[in-house]
Amino acid sequence: MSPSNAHPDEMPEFSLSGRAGLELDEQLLDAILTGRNISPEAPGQATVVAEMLASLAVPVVSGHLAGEDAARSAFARAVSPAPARRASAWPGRPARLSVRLAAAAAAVVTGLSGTVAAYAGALPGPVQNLAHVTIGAPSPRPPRPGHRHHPRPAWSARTAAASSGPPATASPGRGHGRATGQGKGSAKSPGQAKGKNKNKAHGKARGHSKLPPGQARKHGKKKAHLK
Amino acid sequence: MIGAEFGARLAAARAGEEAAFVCLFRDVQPALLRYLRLVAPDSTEDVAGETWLHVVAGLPRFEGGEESFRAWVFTIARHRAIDWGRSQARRRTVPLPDDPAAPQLTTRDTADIAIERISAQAVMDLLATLPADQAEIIVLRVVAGLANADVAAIVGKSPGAVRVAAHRGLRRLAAQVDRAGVTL
Repeated sequence: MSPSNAHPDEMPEFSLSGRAGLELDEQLLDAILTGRNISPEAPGQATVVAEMLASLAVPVVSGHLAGEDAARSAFARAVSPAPARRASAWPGRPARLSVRLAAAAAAVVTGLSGTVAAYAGALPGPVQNLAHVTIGAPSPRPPRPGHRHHPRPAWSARTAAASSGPPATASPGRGHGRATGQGKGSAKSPGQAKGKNKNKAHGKARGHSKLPPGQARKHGKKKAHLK
Repeated sequence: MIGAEFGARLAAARAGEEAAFVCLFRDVQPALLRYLRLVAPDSTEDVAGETWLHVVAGLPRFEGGEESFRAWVFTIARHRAIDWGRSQARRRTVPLPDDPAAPQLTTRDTADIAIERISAQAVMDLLATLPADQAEIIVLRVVAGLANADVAAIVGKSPGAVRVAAHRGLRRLAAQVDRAGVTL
């Protein structure tokens, strides 16, 4: 094998620069890479390579290019549903969306727990009666004879359970202690806990935060009347 | 290259004007196809299609001039080609540079190609005989018209290494042309 027929990588000690016409200095190579005109005195092979590569860089002036239809339709798809899709890209939008999602999730959880409480028969009498009529929940339980002297604490426990989420599992006898604990632990705990303390102090149902004050008072009186 | 109007075209395309997008597409697509024929010869148009899907998706967030745009498109194309190659579990068909039989075969092919006529496809075939990294760098520099630094960022090498690889590739092409006795 001689330098004339060997591949350059096979005989690196024989430089191509020793051969006539292949003295390609770096400036010439850079000119070829950037498409600049090269000197007429440059080696012929360099001129051939420059011409070959230049033929690749010729832009297509007109005509339909491969893939153009697909690219057009992709662009049209991306643009057409603009109001809905682009709006979600605005900053701040995701935050509003998550607030809505959180509200929806809270509503679902509240509804579900209310429904569970209704089917467990743990709602206050009138509410349980309403659930009985509307969604077929069990009818309100008649008051037990042995517990008639403790109706309000048990009623408060059920009310707290129904309004704060977890289903009421406490028996009427244990209701008082549970209500206090749930009030502290639930999301609405500060207001409800206060209300229940007042209930204990005044013997009224004002602790039921879902009801307007007038109705709550009325409710409490009704219970007192049951006594 | 679009030139001075590029900014306006890009802004219009970002605003949803299809004609402006097509202008950008037509400016880049020929070079993109040539590049992909080299790096993804079996799936050139599929990879090009995926590339444009990504370009369309990222266009609203793109900011920069024409060179940056081209560099961005070719970066996406390279990543898509790599992903496609992985998914197909196939290797590139560029001949290995260290195969001792390759120079003889490519020399003969080079002669046939060059004597017949110098066309874009023939040149691409000739480029495909180079080591893959050298061929890719030359195409990105010459066909895509990217600067040395942009090519370095795309292929993940230093600018110096890219320049050396490009020079080696050009010298190798010149040697093949010399062996084939091609003149203008």
